[in-house]
Parts: sequence; C-alpha cells; structure tokens
Amino acid sequence: MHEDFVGVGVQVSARRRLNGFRTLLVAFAVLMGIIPLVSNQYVLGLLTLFCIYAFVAVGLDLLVGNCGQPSFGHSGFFALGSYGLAVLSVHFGVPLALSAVLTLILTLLVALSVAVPALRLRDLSLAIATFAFAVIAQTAIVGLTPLTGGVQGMASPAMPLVMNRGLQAYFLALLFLLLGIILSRNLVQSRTGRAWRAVATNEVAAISMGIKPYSYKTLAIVISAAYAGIGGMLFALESLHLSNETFAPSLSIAFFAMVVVGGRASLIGSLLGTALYVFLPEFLQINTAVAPIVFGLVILVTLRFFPDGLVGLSRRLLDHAAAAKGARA
Amino acid sequence: MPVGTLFIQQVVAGLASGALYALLALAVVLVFRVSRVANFAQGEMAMISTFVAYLLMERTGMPLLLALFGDLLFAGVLGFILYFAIARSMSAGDPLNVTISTLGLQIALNAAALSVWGETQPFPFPAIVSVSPVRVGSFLISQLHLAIIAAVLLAALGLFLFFRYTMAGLAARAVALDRTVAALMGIPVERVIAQSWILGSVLGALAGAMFAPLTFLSSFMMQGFLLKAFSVAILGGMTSWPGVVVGGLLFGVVENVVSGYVSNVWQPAISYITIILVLLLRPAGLFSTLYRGRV
Repeated sequence: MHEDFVGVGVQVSARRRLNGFRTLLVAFAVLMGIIPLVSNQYVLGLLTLFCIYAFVAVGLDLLVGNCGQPSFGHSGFFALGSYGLAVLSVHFGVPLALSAVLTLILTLLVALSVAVPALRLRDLSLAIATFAFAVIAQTAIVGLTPLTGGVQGMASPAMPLVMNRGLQAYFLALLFLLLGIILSRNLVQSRTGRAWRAVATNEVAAISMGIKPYSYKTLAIVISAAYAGIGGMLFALESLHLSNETFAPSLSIAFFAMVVVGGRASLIGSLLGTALYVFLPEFLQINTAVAPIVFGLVILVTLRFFPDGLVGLSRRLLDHAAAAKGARA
Repeated sequence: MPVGTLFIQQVVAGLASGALYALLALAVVLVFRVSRVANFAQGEMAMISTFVAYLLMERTGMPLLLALFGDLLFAGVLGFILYFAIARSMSAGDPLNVTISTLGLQIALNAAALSVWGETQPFPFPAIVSVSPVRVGSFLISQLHLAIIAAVLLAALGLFLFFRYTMAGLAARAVALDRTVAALMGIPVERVIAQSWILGSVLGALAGAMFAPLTFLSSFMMQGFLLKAFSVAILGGMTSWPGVVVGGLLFGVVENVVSGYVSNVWQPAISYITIILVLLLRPAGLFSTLYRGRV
C-alpha cells in the first residue's frame, strides 16, 4: 500500500511501516519517560513545554498539513483552554476535572462558531480572519480583566499532586502528546484523512468524488482547536501564573511555523518543528532577545532549501542513502 | 469642549490613521498582485527604513527632508535585496512557503531592531508640518492629520495614474494578470516583479515615516499596523485601489470612533469583528468582483 498524493503543497505517502510506527512510538515514549529522571528543573520545564507545544502542533497539522487550510488563530484556542480552566477552577471553585470538560466543550463551541464564518473565506482572507480571531482572543483576555486578571495575570489552577509538581505536569503533558499522536495517526490514515487530503489537493475534484469540503474543513478546525484547547489547559497546569502576553498572536505564528518548517502532513514533522522552536535557542546558547532572530532566519533558510520542511530533508537523505545502497548491491 | 468638536477631531484622526493603513495596504496589494507573495514583513521593512531616517538625522544632523529622501532610497534597496533573497529564489516553489518565509523575516527583523535599539525607545520623530492645530470652520484640527490624509490621497492618485497611463504600469498589470503571457509579449517579468518589491518597500517606508511622528518611533510600532493593513487590503479585495483607500479610511474612522466612544480596551476586537462581518457580506472586498479560479 503506497499512496502518493502530489498536489498543492501536500505530499503524503502512507508508509508501509505500520509496525515501524508502533516501534518508534514506544521507543519515543520510553525515551521521554526516562529523560526527566536525569534532568534538572529547568530542562524538565523545557521538556514539558515541548510536549505541550508538540501536542498543539500535531493537532494543527491536521488542519494545515492534511486539510491545507491556513490558520493563524490557534493561540486563541490555546488561550481559551488556559483561561477557561483557570477561571472556572480558581474563580468559581469548580472541581478541576469538571472544569477541564467544560472548557473543552466551550472550546469546541467557539471553534464551531469561528468555523462557520471563516470557511466562507479562502486562502489569504482565511488566514487574516484567523489572525483576527487570535487578536480578538487576546483582546478579550484584557477586556475581561475582572475574570482573567488582564495584564497583571492570574494564578494558575492547582492540581491534586501525586508527585513533584513539575514531574506531574510533565508526565501529564507527555501522556496527552502520546494519545494525541495516536489519535492523529488514526485520523490521518482513515477515510477522514483521505478526504482532508483530497480537499487540500483540489476542492472541485473532491466535490465530484462526493466529499463535502465544508464539513471536512469544519471537522479539521474543530479537532485542531480541541488539541489547542487541551494544550492550553496543560499549559495552565504547568505554569505558575497566566498573563495575557503569553497568548499573543505571535504564538499562533510560532505554531504555524512549527508545523510548516517541520513538514506539513507529517507527525514527525510537527515534532521536529516544535523541537526546533523549543530547543534551538538553548543549543545555541543565545538569550531570549536574539532567539527570535535565529528562529526567523531558520524559517527562511529551511523553506528556501527544504520546501518540504525538515521531514522532506530527512526523506531526501534517506532516499539518497537507499539509492546508494541499491547501487552498491 | 463641545461634543461635536471632539467627534470631528476623532474622525479626522481616524481618517489620518486610516490613510496610513491604506498606504501600507497599497504596498501590500502591489507586491501581492505582481509577485503573488503576501509580504508579512512589509511593516518591519518600513520600520527599519524609518529608523534609517532617524539615524541619518541623529548622526549626521541632516534636515528632515533629506533624511527622508535617504530613507526612501534605503527602502528601495532593501526591497530589491529582499526580492532577490526571497521572491526570486523561491519563485518556483509553493507560494505558501514564500509567505511563511516573509513571516520568518518579520520575526527576525523585529527582534533584530529590538536588540539594536531596544534599550532607549521609543524615540520622538519630527513631522514635516507642525503639530499645532489649525482652525477649520469652528473646529481645531491637527495640521499633521490633514497633511497625512492629503499625502496619502496624492500617493494613491499618483499610483492610479502610474498604473493607468504609463508603460511600466501597464507591464505591471500584465504581469499581475498572467505571467506567462506577459513574458511571451516581451515583458521582462523578473524586472517588473523586482520593481514592484522596490516600489512596495518605498510606499511602506513612506507610511512608516508619516506614522512615526504620531506614535513615536519604536521597534514595535508596526506590529499591529501590518495586520490592519492586510485587513484593509482584503477589504479592497486585493484588486482595486479605490477599494483599498476607501476601506482604509473607513477602518481608521471606525477604529477611532469606537475607541473614543465605546471602549478603548475592546476596540481591537470590535475592529476585527467589523472586518470579518464585511468579509462575510462581500467576500471579494468592498468594490471588487469575484474572480473564480481555474480548476
């Protein structure tokens, strides 16, 4: 089974390595499970952030990579998750689990109401509309200051602890990341995933095949929004303090960049892109002021030389290696 | 001060900032139509050009007009360099990649400006005309606002005439319409695209130079500005100049009036909801007809 879609910016091949996926996933889980035992508080915090952002990126890739729709608005859903959970549990004293469920429902509802008008637009207009949503979300945080603490911020919700707080936040994030990866993989390889990729390649052709683009796009938006909302909740649990600066539209751009630079319609791509964003500044030992410069330049260089993203680069290297091996045989 | 006067002042201020959004939007639309790239770095390019003007005045004591000239020259060169680095080298690939590259560029430029000038901003920037108010009828209106509106309208008119009546303008329109056919007709497509980037950068720098006296020069002065410019560009349907100008003026007025009379905090949300509503009612923009793409 080897399906290749070559279309408008979407290249996906369903790999034969189904067993390979399970092995990789288990290896990844084990590795990520062991790392915190040899890390200090700071690295643990970074790893937790990585898991949270990767979770969001994996969800966003369903919309951007598979379904081919731009979205610069997911920081809005992320913020909704964080502040929803925080306000419900801290201000109204709702038990944490119930707050989480309610916040998720709220996120889904908001996603639906954003999808209905947004999907009447396409391409650049859609991108700007989603950007506008991110701005509206950040404005709302400040506007609802009595609830959200506005610019001063508010305290994060506390969770019942069974271990060191940092460790617990990390394992929770890791758990959701693994679940999110499995769900995403299932979706991508299902009928829904194929419909998404059909819509991304050519909408009119998809319609003639009996696929309703509007429904599938809406589904993609809602699912990726759910991922972002849950990611926001995990973020709230991990942080000690929430403030509106973290949820700026630039975070949306960062998520989008993570997906595209890593490689669209690719799980590994989303992980690579997130890893780049979270760990590159640390590796290069640069301070937070210079980090965005490097990140911006990395985006430029990567897309210039590797249009398929980092995953495309690795695929090409593997192909070269395979070809060389074949030539030698 | 009577309510009427305040309202008129808000409207004029709104027209002025709206005019600036329109100017930057014109730059965006120009680059988008001719080179098919949504240049998200346009704002930061303008910001850096304006900083160049500031440096010229600070370090060499140049008078404002001369510094502005140097600023626009720099902007043109910058536009060309970026055309070469981004649009030209990535023209064969996916347009989405180029757009994201401009996002990356925006991030990098912004952070670079912040690290170079971050410590002591914002800086005051002189205006061409004095900021003292002038009497119009029974109202006191800022000269600067009037000058900005006039300047942008002149620029828009100039652009309109350029595209309508000159050969270079015709070539640009041809390239925007269909690159292959334009090339077949003997139009140097790459040169026209480079020109569009240069002109776009110059227009952006002009907008920046007029914006700086209003809000003080800083590395983050353009951040919100660009998104509004893009929204205005889309209001104009990305195809019609009058749409962009009218859309910009309208947006500026709505923004200012809402900010003054409804709520300062919620104003961005209201502005953007307005844009989304307009887009829903008229997805092609205020004045354009909808162009259907080929399957």
